[in-house]
Parts: sequence; C-alpha cells; structure tokens
Amino acid sequence: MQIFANPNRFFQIADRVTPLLWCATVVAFVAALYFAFFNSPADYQQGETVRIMYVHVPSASLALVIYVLMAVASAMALIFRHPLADAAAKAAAPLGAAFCFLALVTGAIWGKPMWGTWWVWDARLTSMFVLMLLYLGYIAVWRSFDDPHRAAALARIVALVGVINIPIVKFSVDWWNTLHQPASILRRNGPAIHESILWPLGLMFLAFTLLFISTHLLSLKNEVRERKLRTERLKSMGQK
Amino acid sequence: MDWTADHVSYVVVAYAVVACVLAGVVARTLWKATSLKAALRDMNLADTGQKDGQ
Repeated sequence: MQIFANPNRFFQIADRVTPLLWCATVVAFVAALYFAFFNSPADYQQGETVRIMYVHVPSASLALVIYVLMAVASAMALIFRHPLADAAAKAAAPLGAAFCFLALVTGAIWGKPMWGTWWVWDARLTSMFVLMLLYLGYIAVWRSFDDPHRAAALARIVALVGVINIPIVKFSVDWWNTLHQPASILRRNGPAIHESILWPLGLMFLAFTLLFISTHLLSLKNEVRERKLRTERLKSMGQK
Repeated sequence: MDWTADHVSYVVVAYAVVACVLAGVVARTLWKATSLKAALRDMNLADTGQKDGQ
C-alpha cells in the first residue's frame, strides 16, 4: 500500500497498465456484443428483450460496487489520511452516477414491454432511485464548496452514511414483495439463468468493469492535475 | 437475433442510450485530460507521474 501512497509512483505504475486496460476493454466489448446479439438465444418468456439485461445487470451491479468503493475510499481518507483516497472517491462518483442512470433507464425500457409500465415504486426501483440521488448529492457537495478540505469532509459523510442504502438495494427483493424479480445470479443455489445467457452477461460485466477501471484511472489523474493547478494558482496569488 | 421480432425497437433504443452515455463519459474525461495537460504545460508544470522539469 505504501507504494501507492506516493501519487507520482502510483501514476508511473498506472501509466504502464492504462494502454493494456483500454485494449482489453475494447476486446471485451467486441466479444460481449457479438455474444449478446449473435450468439445467444431469445428468452422463452422475454423474447429478444432479454438482450437488454446484458447491459442493465452490469450497469446496476457496477452502480452498487462503485458506491461501496467510494465509501471504502472515504473511510481510508478519514482513518489513514491517504492522499489519493478522497480523489479516488471523487473521481468514481460521476462514473457510478452514469452506471446508476443507465440501470434505471434500461430497466424502464425493459419494463415497458415486459411489465406494461416504465416505472413502479417498488422497493428495488425506489432504492436504486435513492442511490442515484446519493450519487448526485455526493457530486453536488464537492461542487458546493470553494474549500476542497471542507467539501471532502462533508463528501466523506455522505459516502459513509449513504452506503447503508447498498444492502437495502441488494436485499430489497427478499425483504419486500417487489415486481422486480429476486436475485438470479448471486444466490445460494447457484445462478437461475441458463449458461447460454450467463456467458454474454459475464462478458458484458467484464467489459463494463474494464471500462470503469480505465476511465477511473484517467479521471483520477485529472483530479490530481486539477489539485496541482489549484495549488500553483494559490501559490502565485500569494506571491503577488 | 431476430430483427423482425416483437419489441426489438426497445432493445435498439436501450443499447443506443448505453452507447451514447458511455461514449459521453469517456469523451468528457479525455477532453478534460487534454485541457488540464495544456494548462499544466502553460504553467511549466510536470504532468502526473513525471517529475518537474521532465
């Protein structure tokens, strides 16, 4: 961990793996799209709309995972004062918000032909909507303060308090009667999905994850660049 | 995939939305990186992962 405590050292390592990550992302997307459109069957109940699940499920999963990562990074910033922890959480927030937005929109697009409605206020959909609001709130906190230290202190609280919503999203389908189906992949008896559909889903999840890692590294570098510029500008203002 | 089946338009719209949003996120991040690199260069500062003066 000490290696990554130094931003320069961290970015030297990140610069080496970034091109490989982008290549892997492109390859994973090509393979996932091929399987999603041309090498997987239509579902016996959902028909062709099952293909929406290949983008809906990875978006929703990543929206949850990214928020947990933000909470972990915020806790690290609070406990260990890691110089990159706040920046990592801040850089992840817009990406998590984008995946959360995609989960809500693709879910609605799937819901219309399958449920006959774009939206219902059931526990899963409502808790995902709350997650979207938490992402927007977190981003708004960072943009509301001129002093980055004050913004970081409040953003950490939002991230750590908001993480309570993650198990609510995950287990909402077990705790309440919902129109949304129960868990069909991560469950005790193994996945309830046929492997012909599970493979494209797994590949698309890999592609989305690689895209998140690649974009997050880029975004994290932007965050460090912004900090460097802000520090230099404050220095030059002090000298005047 | 049967392109003549029911509800295919929903699938097409869903993938188009996903493509637009993800492409937008990546493009915005890349654009921001380019403008920040230029700002650092203007102030004679090193980019991330480099020492000043490199």
